Formats: sequence, structure tokens, C-alpha cells
Amino acid sequence: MTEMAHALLGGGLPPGWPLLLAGLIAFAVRSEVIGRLAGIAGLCASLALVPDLAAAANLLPLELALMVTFHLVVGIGILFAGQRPDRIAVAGGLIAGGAALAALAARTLLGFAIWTEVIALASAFIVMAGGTPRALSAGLAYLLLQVTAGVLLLIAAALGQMDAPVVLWLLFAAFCLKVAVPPVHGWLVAAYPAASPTGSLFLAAFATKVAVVSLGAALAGAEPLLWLGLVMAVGAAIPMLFEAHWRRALSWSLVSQLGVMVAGIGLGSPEAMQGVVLLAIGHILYSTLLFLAAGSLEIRDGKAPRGLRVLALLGALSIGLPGLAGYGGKALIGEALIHHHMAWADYVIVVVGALVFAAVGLRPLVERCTPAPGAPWISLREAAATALLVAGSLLVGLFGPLIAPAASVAWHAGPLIVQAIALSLACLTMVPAVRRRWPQWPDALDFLALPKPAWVTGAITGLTVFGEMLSRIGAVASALTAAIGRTGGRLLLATARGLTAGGLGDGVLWALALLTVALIVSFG
Amino acid sequence: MSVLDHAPVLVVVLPLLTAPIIALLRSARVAGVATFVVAALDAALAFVLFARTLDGSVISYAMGGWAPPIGIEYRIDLLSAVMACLTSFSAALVAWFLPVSIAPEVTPGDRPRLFAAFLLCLAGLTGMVVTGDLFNVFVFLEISSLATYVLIAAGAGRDRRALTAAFDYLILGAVGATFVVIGIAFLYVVTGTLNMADLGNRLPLAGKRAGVVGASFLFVGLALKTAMMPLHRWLPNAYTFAPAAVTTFLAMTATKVALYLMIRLAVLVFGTPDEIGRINFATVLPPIGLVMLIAGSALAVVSADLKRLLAFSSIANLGLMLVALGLGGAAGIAAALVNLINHAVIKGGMFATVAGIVHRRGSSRMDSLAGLSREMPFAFVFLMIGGMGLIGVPLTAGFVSKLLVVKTAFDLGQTMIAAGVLLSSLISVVYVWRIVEACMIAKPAKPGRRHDVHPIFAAPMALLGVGTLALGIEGGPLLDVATRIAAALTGGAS
Amino acid sequence: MSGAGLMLAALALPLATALLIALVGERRPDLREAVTLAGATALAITVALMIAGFDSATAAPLVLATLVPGFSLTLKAEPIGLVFAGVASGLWILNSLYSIGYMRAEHAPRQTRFYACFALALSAAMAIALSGNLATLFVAYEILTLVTYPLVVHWQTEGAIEGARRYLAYLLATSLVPFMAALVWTWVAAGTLDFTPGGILAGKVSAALMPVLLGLYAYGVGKAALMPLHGWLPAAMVAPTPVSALLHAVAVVKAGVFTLLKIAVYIFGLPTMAAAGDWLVWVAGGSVIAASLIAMTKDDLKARLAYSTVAQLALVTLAVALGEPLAIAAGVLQLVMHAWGKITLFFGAGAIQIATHKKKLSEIAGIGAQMPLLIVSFLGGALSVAGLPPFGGMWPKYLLLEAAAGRHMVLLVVCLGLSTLLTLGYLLPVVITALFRKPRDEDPHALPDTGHEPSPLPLLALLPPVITAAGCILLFLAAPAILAFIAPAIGLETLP
Repeated sequence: MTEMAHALLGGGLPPGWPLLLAGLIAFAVRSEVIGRLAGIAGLCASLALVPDLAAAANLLPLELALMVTFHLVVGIGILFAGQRPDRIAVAGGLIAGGAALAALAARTLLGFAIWTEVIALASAFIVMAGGTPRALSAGLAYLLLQVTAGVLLLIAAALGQMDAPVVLWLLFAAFCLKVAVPPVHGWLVAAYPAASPTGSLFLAAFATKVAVVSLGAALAGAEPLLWLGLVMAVGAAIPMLFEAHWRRALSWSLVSQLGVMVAGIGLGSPEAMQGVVLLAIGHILYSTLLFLAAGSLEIRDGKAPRGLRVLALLGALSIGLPGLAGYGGKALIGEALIHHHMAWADYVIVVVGALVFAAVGLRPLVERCTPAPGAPWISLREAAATALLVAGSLLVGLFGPLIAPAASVAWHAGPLIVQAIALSLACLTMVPAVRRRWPQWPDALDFLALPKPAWVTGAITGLTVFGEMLSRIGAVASALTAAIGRTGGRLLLATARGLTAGGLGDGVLWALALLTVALIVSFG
Repeated sequence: MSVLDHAPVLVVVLPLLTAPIIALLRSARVAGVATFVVAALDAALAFVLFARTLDGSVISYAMGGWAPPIGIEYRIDLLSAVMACLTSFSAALVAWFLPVSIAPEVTPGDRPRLFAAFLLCLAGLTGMVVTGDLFNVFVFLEISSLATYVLIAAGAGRDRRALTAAFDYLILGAVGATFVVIGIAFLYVVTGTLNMADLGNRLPLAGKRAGVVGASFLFVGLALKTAMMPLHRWLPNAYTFAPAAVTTFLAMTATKVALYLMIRLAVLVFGTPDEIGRINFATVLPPIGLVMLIAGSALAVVSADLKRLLAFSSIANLGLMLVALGLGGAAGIAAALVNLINHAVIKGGMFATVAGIVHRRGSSRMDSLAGLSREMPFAFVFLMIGGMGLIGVPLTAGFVSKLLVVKTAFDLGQTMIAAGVLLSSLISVVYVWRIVEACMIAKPAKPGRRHDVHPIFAAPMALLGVGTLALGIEGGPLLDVATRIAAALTGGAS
Repeated sequence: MSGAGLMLAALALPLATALLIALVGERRPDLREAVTLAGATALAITVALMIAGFDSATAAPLVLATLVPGFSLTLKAEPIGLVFAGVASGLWILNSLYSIGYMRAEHAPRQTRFYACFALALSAAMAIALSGNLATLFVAYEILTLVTYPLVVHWQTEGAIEGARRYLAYLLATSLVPFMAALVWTWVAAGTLDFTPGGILAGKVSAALMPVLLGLYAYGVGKAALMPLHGWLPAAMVAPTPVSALLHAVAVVKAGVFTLLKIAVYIFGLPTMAAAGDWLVWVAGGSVIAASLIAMTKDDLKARLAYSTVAQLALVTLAVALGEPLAIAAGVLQLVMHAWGKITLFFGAGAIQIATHKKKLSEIAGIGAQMPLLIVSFLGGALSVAGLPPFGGMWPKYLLLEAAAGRHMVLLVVCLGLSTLLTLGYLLPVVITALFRKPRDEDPHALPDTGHEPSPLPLLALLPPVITAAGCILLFLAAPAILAFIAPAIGLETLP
């Protein structure tokens, strides 16, 4: 009972249970308002429980900060949902949030596997709730791939102590699926933009980060991850540059930044690992802010409200400005790379960061966030959400070293200067002359997003072919058996009739025949 | 000497002598009642015999005080008593509803003679099982056969083909009886005695040739009476066209008595429980039995008439009995006996139900059964119970029968035979399900109102139906009796 | 109440219910339904008492009758049987509620026969669950087949008659020939038919012949629907949906896999089973994959669910064939979890039929808007059947993975993982089509829909699936308790 019980209850209710409960309520009840109220209640309850959890589970400050960040995102999502009601997204987000907390706190692989499946389910439904055929396809592909990863994790958990190399391979495969490591990264780019604006907020925060932090700890120091991460970081940045749809570009940037985290995991040193978590936190904060901005624009059908520019600017700055969230983690990982004698990789990361800043921060700000005369202001909710996020960002940015001791390296001269140069160069790209020559179109370089949802859903149809074949074999076998049965039956009947039919004379003849046989047998 | 001490002979003489009296009665109603009373008394006498032989003793009764082997001896052991109970109880049950059942088919003037024929048949059958004299067996065989021909022909009131059926049976039955008497003659020639026990003592010492010839004739003659394939042709038509009540009686007794004779002759006369002369049961009977099982069931599947279906089903079940007998040894004989009794109960119940249905609806054709489950639920229930018994559903007597045969076969290592028996039960599912569908699923041409069987049929149907279930739930007692009989037969024979 | 008294009550209560139902008849339908519900509740309480009071030391056999010396009808409580009894009795209540809603909404004829046969079927299921020897199990198994025939043929249309014939043909053919042959063989070889911990066949049958005997049992127990003798299951879909729910969740198929479990644990004994079961592992594994693939091709919802059942049952057969305590535990859990999950799915399919008169996947686009709660319950059942947490269905799959991993059977591990994905592949499209695809009238190229006006969903048809879906989640948490209950009986020392 030990493993099962621990996996389930680990001594008490799972962490995040108030959020899970709130999510179920939000799902079951038709009224959006009640759903959001339940969400807020759950959020507060969960936050109140966090200190106890920290004490009981001996959480590191970084992990604690990550958990608080999760709560923050949930709150932001609920706030934003007030803008344009989205019941499934809210319910899914609450459940995903609660499950994320439980997953982080899970102490066994089985428990972790269970909770990440819950996150995957909730997230898949958030995607599918987007409503368009694209969302359906992306959501189904998302679910199938994530469940595959979950199955791999379950197998790994089942293997337990035996076959350690196999377990590691399984974990690696699951990790690649969950963290969108190429070549299985396309689901993210397809799914995240397809969800509703509120949905994207929740999606970006939980699933991948939980995987990075928890599974990353298990795979720390695996050299291939270092290179894969760098490829991810650079490779994903390219389509991002040319993507016209803001949320899709943000998704590419998410993959890119995940790449940086993956590289950090590949390094495996303590400072790199701290950098990974710090970057994760930072990334959550700034990407939520950017998704918020993009979402604000979308729910108003592209007509920018007043105040959006401020929102967008703050989001853009959060990406890499020292003092705000995004910088600390990246700098830490960069330093770790330098210590690993890969200074060039550090520059790569910085450049990528700058590109992200330019593509998903500056450019949309400049090109799309200008309000028309007489446009309404952003709502109080959005403003509040922005304020919360920026506050969080500042806290993490300025006080990073408190939670991640090694992060103080971010304030050294070297990284600061490099970052300053990079950001300035990035700003230069906003010069109209450069900007005009920088092409952007929707679904840019789509062929780089592998695997396509259609392939995954197509696999189902493909398997149906086998099913048809088997059905046909079954039908043929049935028909054959029936035919044999019928023929056999007819033969039987004919013989039986032959023995029974005939008139009186036949009867007498049979009697005489039998007598003859009996006599022969007796004397033979 | 009380009356009961004469029970061995009374059990035969009572119906034999009352038959002519009843034939002369004017009132059909009185004749019918008298028939039942006689049959009931006969059953009581048979029960007394059973009670007295239960401990294994053998009652020997010398007719007229003349000692055997010169005099005719009535020799009753447990097996004879059980068979006598079978014939007389069947007769009593059938006699209960016979008058009502044949009323539509036979004119009141002819009925007393029919009842007389019925009692003569009973006398003949009972006589065959209680007598210890071989020629006596032949005499009673003829009495019962002649009476049977009349009984079958009585069905002409409903269907003229009964006459042809009776005629066919007459000719074939005569052939069989002739073979039997020739066989007896051969045995008499070589041993000089007709007493079965005495024959058993003298035959080994006598000439081989004549004994073997006699055995062959006897075997073929009995085979015909037992409706062993390929000499079974008379049975389907006889059962189908005879009046339903007559069929009930015949199905419960006629072929069973012939089978009894085969066992008795093998044990007592030839001294070898598993062969008659050179004809070895183990080699001959199982193949024939399996063929009967399969062919009989197959033909039942395509029968358009319910009585014909049940007739073929009887052939199939006879095959099962032959298979059991062919397995040999005490276990085989015990299994055969259990099968015999169980089948009599099951088939009797079904035919009694059919008699009730025919009496109400006028036809036993399958397509006229539509709507039975709604209009005659009582009859339907008992038809179903019987049907389940035929398939061998657990908790019915049929399952016990089948289980015993299969287990015995497995015990003796005869897996092929066991497989054959199991496979043939599949075919029985098909024809029983035809009945179920005909009654329950088929839509009647015009829906009738609820009009169940005449009350007089209720008691026999219920008794036999409950018996089917009781023998299926607690088959121990019957198996115990059968085992004792088998042990006595195989242990005693030298 | 004593143990023997409770066992008798478990058999007698449904019988009495059937009798009362027949007596009340068509005259007072509400009273008749109340009788059903009362009987079901009483049975559930009886079984609960048996489970609560179960003590393996004091559980004594109760001999009801002796058909033939050595072949007796004996009842004996033991953990696996009590689990089955619990599942059957609990789900009977929900199924009855659902039946009331469904049959009345469809204005079905012959409802008295329906409810009476239901009760009889439950009595037979209880007898199977509480059987103390193979003889009793066989007898009750046969009776179950016969008693469910009127349920399958209920509508009495051409298709129903044909389907019911196939149902009967397969089940009777398998039980009358291979099962009976195996039973008699076992009886002759071991000298007894009693269910004995550790089995009765060890050393009694040669190692070469043991797989043959196992094969006779595996195919003789036709209710376990092992391919290729699974054809009766799709054929039985002609029955009304509550009957399909009964067949596929409550009684019939569960009786089949339960029989295999009992035979493995108490007749063969696990070591003998493991030695003889290699071939069966592959046949069952192949069955899982093949049936799942075929399920993906079916447009008719119930046909899809039928093949899903074949696949999921094969998992229990697989567990039985592995012959280890852990695998058997997985098999028992699968019995429980699949029952609750599958019944949810059938409730859902039937409710869709009542409300929209649609039976096919291609026709149900967008109906989620009318009945969101139902589709969500369906989703819960689907995820449970697929084996995803946090639904109960995850546990059997996980334990099977552990068992397979323990035997280093890589192909089997892959097969199990695939089965989860395939299951999602054929169950999720139903939910997605219902919830997220647009109904055809919004598609300008669609043919005109001649469907009826959608009727409102009766509460009695909606409530049971919601309850069973919630049950799937609760069972996720209850699984350790079930394992602890059966562990002593199957020799599971260290609980996973």
C-alpha cells in the first residue's frame, strides 16, 4: 500500500486541493460568476496552506517561489476571465494549477505521473475549448502526445528500481514530449495559440514548467540536453521572428526560452539548476504579462485600448531588463555556461533573449498597441493584473538572490553590460527602416512545427485502416465458419435422412441386413 | 400369504384380466375411471415390489406353485422392480388424462376398447420386466406390441396417417418379434430350458454355435424394439401420429423396456454384462449411440411438427443410453439406468404438455404454437422445463444424465466419446430453441385470449415437470439405486 | 445474521424480487419499479454486510444441494467473490434507476418480463460470486445465460431475434462443450471441484496437457469474450441499452472474467497457472490490440463500446494468464474499474439515444450543448476505461505494467501502453464530436437532417451516469482498500 497511498495522499490531501475543488465547482456550475468566485476562494485557501506545505515538505525557497507564482497566474487568469467569460478555461486552469502544485510536491515518480496527467487533461480541454477546428485538432494531438508521455512515466514508475538505464530513457522521452524538445515540439506551437486568450494564460504557466523543474531535476547533467537546449533556443527563435500572430510568436518564444532552461539542465551544475528554476519563474511572469497584452488586443478584435502600450512595454521590459523577472535566470544560466567553458553559448543565449525582446515585445508594442483616438481604456481588471505581475516581476528581479543564492551573479558587471548591449541593439531593430524590411506573416515557417496535429490525428485514421482490415478478416472468418457449419449441417441432415427415410420395405431390409452383419460378426 | 405376497403376479394379472371387463363396459366415462383405478392399483403393487427389493433381495415367485425351471418363474430384483414402477406409474399418470385427451379423436363407443388396449399394453410391458422365463418374455412382448398397434392406430381420428404408421410398426414389430422367438428357439434347442437363470447356468456348457446364432437373432430383434439405428424408422411416425396421450405412455416405457431386456439377457442369460453372445456392447453400442445422438438431433432440428421433433429427440436420447451402456462396467450400467429414468420423466412431461396443447389447439405443428407463451403460460412453463432438460441445463435431470455419461467416459479414458456426447448437445440446443422461439417469439396470425390447458392435464404435467427439476437438483438417491443395481448385475454375474 | 444466512439472502432476495415483479405485473408499473429498487437496495445492504463481516477464518461453506455425489451446489464467501458481488449489487441499483428512465422514455413493451429477468440474472450473478466450487459456478453460469436471453431478445424485431440467437449460440456452445469438458476433466483428474487456496490441479495433469486444459477453460468461459470467440458481444447490442449495461458491466462479462480469476487462483493455483499460461498472454494481448483497432472503425456507438469491452476484458484474461499475485490483483481491480467505467459509457450512449434518437458517431455532432453533464460523465467513464488518472481505471493498467515489467516482457509493456492510447483513440472522438464539433445544420453542404425534435433527458437517465462517473474518481482513491481486502486470498505479500 505504501507506494499507492503515498502517491495518492502522501499523508493528507494533495497540495493544491482547494484549487482542484474550485475547478470542479467552476466546471459543474453554469454561472461564470460563481465559478470565478469559487476560483478566488480556492486560490486564497491554497495560498493560506502554502506555508504549512513548505514546512511539511521542506521546500527550498525557489520551489516555494515557483508555487507562489503558480498561484499568481491562477489569480491573473481569473481576473482576465472576468473580461470575457470563459468557463472551461477557468475550470481547466484551476484544475491545472492545483495539479501543478501537487505534482511539484510529489515525492514519488508515480505520484508525479498521476498529477501531470491531470494537468495534461485539463490543459487539453482548455485548448479544445477554443472552439475552432484548429483548436480541436491541436487539442486532440496535445492530449494524445501528453498521454503518451504520461504512459511512459507510468511505465518508468512501474519499473521502479530495476533497469535504471531503461527508466532514464523513459524519463528522457517523456521529458522531451512534455517540454517540447525538438523534434516533438510542434504541439505547443499549434495548441497554445488555438486556445482562447484566457486559456493561453493558463496553458503557458503550468504544464511545461512543472516538467522542466521536476523531470529536469532527475535528468540534470545529461549532456545531450545541453546541445538540444541550445538548438531549441536558436531554432525556435527563427520562426518567432517572422510570425505575425502575436500569440503564436509568443508560443515560439516559449519554446526558445524552454530551450535555455533545457540547456541549463544539461549543464547540471547547482548554479545552472538554480538558474533554470529562476528562469522558469521569470518566464512565467513575463509571458503571462505578454499573453495578457496579446489577449487584451484579441478580445477587442485588434483595436488597441488606451493603456495597452504601458502593459505591453512592461511586458517587453520584463523579458530581459535587469531588475525585472526574465533577466536573473538567464544570466545565471549564462554564467554557468561560461564556467563550463562555453562562453559562446552565453552570447547565443543573450542574443536569443534580445531577439525575443524585439520580436514579441517591442514590435507588437510599436505596431499594434497604438490606440485609435477615442478608444476606451483597458479595464480595471487588466490594470490590476498587470500591476500584480509587474510587482511579482520586480520582486523576483530585484530580490532574486534571496531565493536563489547564486543569482547574485546577475548583478555583476559582465552580464549587465552584455545584456545592455544586446537590448540596445534590439531596440535598434525598431527603427522604421529596419522594421519595414523585417517580414512577418501568419503561420510563418510552419513546416518547422513538428509534429503537426494533423499527423497525430491522422495516426488515428491510419490505425483505423488496421481496424478495418481486422474487421474484414473477422467477417470473412465468420462467413466461412457459417458456411462450413451450414454445409456440415446439410451433410449431416442428408445422412440422417438417408438412415431414416424410406418405406416399410427398407425397414425390413435393414433388419435383415443387420442380422446378417450380426451373424458374420459373431462367427468371424 | 397376504395379497401383497402375490404382488409379483398381480402386478401383471390385474391389468390383464380387467382389460376385457373394461372393454365390455358401455359408459366411456366409467371405463376411463376404471382404467385409472387399475393403473393406480398397479402402481401401488409395483411400489410394494420396489420396497421389498430395495435391500437387494430377489423375489422369486413360482406361478401356480410349479417350481422352476419347469414352471414359469417370476423373478424380481431391484432392477425389475424399478422398471415395473416405471411402467405402472407412467400408465397411472397417462390414464389420468387419457379419457379427456382422446375424446376429440375417438368416438365414445370405441373408447372402452381403447382403454382395454391400454391396460393390455401395460400388462405386457410389466410382464416383460417381472418374468424370469424367456418364452414368457416373448408372450408379453407380443401382447404389448399388439396392444400398441391398436393404440397408435387410434390416432386416425385426427390424422389418417396413424393407420399407416401403425401398420408399419406392425410389420416391423412382427419381424422383430419373429427374430426374438427364433433366438429363443435356438437357445432352447441347445439347453432344453426356458428359464433365464437356468439358461445362464446351462448355456456355457452347451454348443457354441447355436448359442451364438440365437444371440444374434435376439440382439437384432431387441435392437428393433429399442429403435436402435438403423432399425428406428418406425418410431418417428408412430410417435407423431399416435394420440398424444399414447405417445406419452410409449415414450416413457416401450423402448425403455426393450433396453432393459437387452441388459437382462446379457447379464442373466449370457452371463456377460457387456455382451450378448459375441456381440460386444463396448464395440457396437457407442458408435451406434453417437450416430443416433447426432442424427436424431439433426432430424429434430428440421421437424415441422412438435411431436415429430420430440420423437427424434427420443431417438437421440436413446443413443445416449446406448453410449452409456457401451461404456461398460458397473459405472456404465448405472449411467444408462439413470439416463433411462430421467429421460422417461423429461419426455413424459413434455409429451403430457403437448397432449394438453393439442387438446386445446387441435394441432401440434410448430407454426401453430405461436403465442403459446402468452395464451397458455402453464403449458409453456412445463414445455420449457422439459426443453431445458433435453439440452441438459444444470438443475434439470438431463444435466445429471449427461454429466454421468461424460464423467464415466472420462474416467475410463474414452475422451472421444465424451467429446461426441458434448458436441451433440449443441444440436439439441438448436431444436429446443426452435420450440422456444415458436412459442415465445413467433407472432400468431390472430392473437388469442388466454386459454390454458384443461385442468386434468395439470397434475401429470406438474408432477413430471417437478420431477425433472427434483431429479436434477438431488440426483443422489436415483444414482444410488442405479449403482446398487449395477453392482448387483456386474458382481453377481459370473 | 450469520454468514450462511447472508449468503442465502443474497441469492433469495433477487429471486423473491423477480417473483414479486411477476405478480405485480403490468397493472401497477410504479409499484413494480419500486419492488425492483427495494430488492436491489436490500441486496446491496446484504452484500455490504457480508463484506464488512468477512473473516476468512470463519467463512464456512454452505451446501444447498447435491446433484450427484461429488457435484454439489455449495456457497462460500471469499474476497474476490465478495468484490464481484459488491460491484454487481451496487450497480444493479443504478442500472434499475436508469432502466426506469430509459424504458419509460422509449415506451417499451414487456417491461414486466424485463425487470423480472433482470432480477433473476442478478440472483445467478450472486450465485456465481458466492460459489464454493466449480460445480456451483458452472450451474449458475448456465442459468445466467438462459435468464439473460429474454433480455437480449427484448425488442423481438428481426434483428433482435438474430442477435439473440448468436448470443445464445456462442455462450451455450462454449459452455456445453469446452467448459463442461474442462470441468469433467478437472473433476476426474483432481477428484474434487472445490475452490481451494493454492489450487487443486498441481501435479494432477501433465505439464504438456495443462495448456490444453487452460485453453478449454479460456474459451469455454465464453462470457470472457476472448477473441476469436467474441462475436456474441457485438451481436448482443440489439438489446435495450440498460441490458447492454448489465451485460457489459454488471453481470455477464464480469461473471466471465470472474470465473477465469477464480479458476486461476483456486483451481489451477498461481504457479501452475503461470507455467501453463504463456500462450494465453499473447492471445489475450493480441485480443486487446485487435479489438481496440476494430473499435476505432465502428460508427455505431454501442458497437464501438462492445469492442471496447472485448479489449478491456482481454486485459483481465491477460492478468490471469500471467499468473502472479500482482497480476491477479490487477485483474480484480480491472473487474471493478471497468464495470463502473463501462456502465457510465453505456448509460451515456443510451441517454443520447433517448434524447436525440441518434445512435451513430457521425450523427452526434454538437449535441453536447443539450446535455453537457452527460457528455462530461461519458468523458469521465472514457478516461477511466482508458486508464488515466485520476480515474480508477489507472490502477489495473499500472499494476499490469508492474507485473509485465517484473517479468521483463517488453512487448507486453508496449502493448499495455498502446492500449491506453488506442482506447483514447476510439473513445475521445465521441466526446470531442459531441462537445466541440458543430452540428450538421450549420454546415451548408450537409444533407438535410430528418431527425426528430430532441426530447428532454429524463432525470433518471441522467443521474446514474453522473453517479458512476463520480464513482470512477472515488474508486481511484478506494483502490488500495480493495487491494488490501483481497491480498490474503491471492498471496500478495507486499502491496504495491
